[in-house]
Amino acid sequence: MRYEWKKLLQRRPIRLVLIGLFLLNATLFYARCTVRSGGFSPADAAKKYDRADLAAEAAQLEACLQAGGCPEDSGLVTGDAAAELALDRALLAEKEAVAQYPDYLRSLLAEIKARLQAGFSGKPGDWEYRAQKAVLARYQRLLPLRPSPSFGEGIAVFSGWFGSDMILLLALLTAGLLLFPEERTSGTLLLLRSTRYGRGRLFLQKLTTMLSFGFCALILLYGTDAAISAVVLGFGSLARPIQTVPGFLSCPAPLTVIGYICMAGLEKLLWLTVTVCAAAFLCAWARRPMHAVLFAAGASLLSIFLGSARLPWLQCLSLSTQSDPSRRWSACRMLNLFGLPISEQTAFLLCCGLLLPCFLFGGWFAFCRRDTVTPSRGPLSGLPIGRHTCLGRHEARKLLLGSGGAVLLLLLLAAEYGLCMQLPHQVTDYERYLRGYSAELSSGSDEENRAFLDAEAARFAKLQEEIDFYEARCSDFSELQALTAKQRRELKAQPAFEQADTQYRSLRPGELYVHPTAYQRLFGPQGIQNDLWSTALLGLVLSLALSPCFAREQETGVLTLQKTAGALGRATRSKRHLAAGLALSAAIAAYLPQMAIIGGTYGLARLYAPAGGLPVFSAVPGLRIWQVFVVAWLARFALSAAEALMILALSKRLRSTVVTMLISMALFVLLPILLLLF
Amino acid sequence: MELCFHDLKKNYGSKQALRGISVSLREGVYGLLGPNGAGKSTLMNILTGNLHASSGYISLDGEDVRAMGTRYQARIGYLPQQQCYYPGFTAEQFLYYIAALRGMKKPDASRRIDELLDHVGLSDVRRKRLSGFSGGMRQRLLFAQAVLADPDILVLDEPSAGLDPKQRIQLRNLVGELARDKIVLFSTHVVSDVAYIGRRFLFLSDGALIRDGSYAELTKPLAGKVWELRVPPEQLEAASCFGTLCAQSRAGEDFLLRVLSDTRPPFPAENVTPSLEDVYLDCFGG
Repeated sequence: MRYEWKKLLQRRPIRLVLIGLFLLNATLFYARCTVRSGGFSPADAAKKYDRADLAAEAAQLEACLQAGGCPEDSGLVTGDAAAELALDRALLAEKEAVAQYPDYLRSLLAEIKARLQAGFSGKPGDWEYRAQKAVLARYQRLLPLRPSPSFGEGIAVFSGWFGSDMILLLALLTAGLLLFPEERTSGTLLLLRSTRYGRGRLFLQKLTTMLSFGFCALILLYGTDAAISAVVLGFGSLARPIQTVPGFLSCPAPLTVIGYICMAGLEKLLWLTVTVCAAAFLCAWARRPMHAVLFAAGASLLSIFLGSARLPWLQCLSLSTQSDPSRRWSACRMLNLFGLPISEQTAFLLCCGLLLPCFLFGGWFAFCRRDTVTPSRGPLSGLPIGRHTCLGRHEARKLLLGSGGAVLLLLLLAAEYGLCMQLPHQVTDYERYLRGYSAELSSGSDEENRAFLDAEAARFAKLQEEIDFYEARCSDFSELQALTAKQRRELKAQPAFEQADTQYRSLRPGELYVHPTAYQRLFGPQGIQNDLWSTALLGLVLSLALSPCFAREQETGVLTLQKTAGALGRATRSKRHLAAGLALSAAIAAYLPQMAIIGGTYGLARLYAPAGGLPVFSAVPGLRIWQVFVVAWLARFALSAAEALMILALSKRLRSTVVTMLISMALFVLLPILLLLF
Repeated sequence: MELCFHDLKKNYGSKQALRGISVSLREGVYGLLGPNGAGKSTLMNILTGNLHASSGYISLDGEDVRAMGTRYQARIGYLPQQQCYYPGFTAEQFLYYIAALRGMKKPDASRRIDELLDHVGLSDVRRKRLSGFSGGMRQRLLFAQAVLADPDILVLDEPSAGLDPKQRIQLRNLVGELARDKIVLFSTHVVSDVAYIGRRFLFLSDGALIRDGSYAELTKPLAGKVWELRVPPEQLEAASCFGTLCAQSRAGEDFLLRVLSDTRPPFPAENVTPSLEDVYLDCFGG
């Protein structure tokens, strides 16, 4: 096993990448603890939690804000009165929730009993009934619990942080690539397969190395997270019930905080074991490093898909769901095992017990039973292609066919289309109303539009008055509903009206009203999130396609022939031009589908209008909407080209496809995904 | 055409891989012989531009090759010791790629590729992927790529590695044919590969040129020093220790030994004509 460890850590770039990932995790987790979101950060909450005068301060802040503004007070933790008020309210709500726990538990038990008695959970012999009885029994054990408020954000942030899992997965993929497909491509597998002790033992040694590597990485990453959380936020008393921690109010187990940490740790270790076996399985089947990465990407997508499935058992089989102990322990969910209600924790153990031997056996079979050398029967080898002396075309063939650039572009397009289809694109009633108002406000003069808005506001006010009138006089609910049906139907347009009204009234001189939905979708918070996903996918495609660009020449030895022929410069220029072309094509494939689908569904209205007329573009008042698109696309192309150039530079410098791929993925895939966590 | 090495040196840290090699080459085959680590590959890499010399220079027809740049590169063909190829390419595609690197025009490349594939016996498998080739087939293909652009200087590093005896002879004959108007530098451990076709032989040891001459010039000093002995099995051990053992074979019940010795061995012995292998063993020991 010592030699397998040496294979993992013998290359300096790999060691640097692993150290870099560790530091990145620490930095991002620290930022998670200290960066303000919604006005305050967990660190701010930690400073104020134990103060006894929170309620009084909140009342004071509310009063002065209502009065029109609070004087600057350096004593505020957040530095802003509104944010301070939000912080105070959040802390008070948290404390109250914990203090009210016995009442909460009693109401939960009462609700379950009511459901059982009312027959909403079926008849006494039914599975649903027995499951609810089991839930009732679990919660009833907690009746003696009397938790007192204690700052729990440290534990909540620590248990809710997924960045370490992402980095751990990349580290495991690194180990898998170096121990399996890298051996195959470098040819050392031919030497290793004939061993005194057999291939099975060799496979176990590699697997054990990956496990120990994963274990060390887990300890380092989570240990650092725990240390940062403990220092910056604090864990509070570890002997208190876990129900005092935000998000765990509905935990059905009588665990203390330290008890939960231990349980979660053990579950994490089990998840790690299953994931390592899965990684070994995928990497053992892959003939080339790129295949292993694509398998891993596919497995990740499958995992996410399973995790969002409606069937609980499918969710349980998802490795991404399995990685989150807090999800399992924050509520009491029962699953149906052949008519027997079992807890989610038990289901997790069963699923791990099912997946583990499957991955183990599959990986063993792939490594030990399959041929090391297989005759390569390419589908294109019989075709008369490549019979020319144009160096650029040869390099293009190497990039698009040899490195799989063409297939990767198609996969990117398909993935983007699939992602776009996941987002809601139906034209809702709200959208229909908004379109109506947008059509009205996009024509006519300013006076006419303002008169229209005033008239609509008055109409809604009148409708509300009529509803209030009937509510005051009618005690029968169904009669009231019948009487006010027309008014309520018309009032459905009010939220859309209010948005259109706010947008119109905030227009500056020279600005035009523009229907905002498509632009909000493309450039608002959801649009930025989608862009980050697209950027991660783009990074993956470029990493896989371009990593072999220069490294492969060194690995195959053809670099010598290029140098001897005096054609190294021409070949290099060719590669750079092709890489730029690939980067631009990939950028189009990554970002265009979303724009096309959203634009097609909601319409890109008035592209010539000043961008400042839209709330989402209020920070860019000097440009027109079409110019914003041009700038956005230029930025995307520039980012894509920069990524491509960096990957080429890495490939040239490092001269190893696997190492280049890993570093590129850390920079251009992992980073956007981690940013999504913020 | 004259290719000259002028006091060529190469250092790797404190280790001197080449210690001032100076030699002048004209058309013909030059055997580059020496044990592992002698500096043969280093010399070849410097000649082909894959390595920079620490000091000294190479000139072609009086001009420094560094100043010539791509004009020099265009006149070199190289068969490296390590097999370099793209596994996913077919033989034909690989040669077209090399032709593209060499800046050849398609009609010339097509004609030349057809010719060479025929010469090296790979016409039948021209559309087969290189990953499916045997080692010998790849070696023949790599020889074809080295001569594809009809270079003036051909550098062959262990060209017969992986070839069967018939193929080695074919290769030897092909090289001999090509060498009429080229400078061929042929590095090998198999002395017989180059003995019959070589014009001159350069013996390298520990980075230095220790012997340099034609077959006749090199073997003349060993005249009268190479002996063939026939000994019974019980005398084999004693006879083996006498002088430098060059070869050993069975002749019926007895053993036939070829030894290098200044004095006549105390066994029934006959003087034989020295060969290049004897010269090799004389330089580097048995």
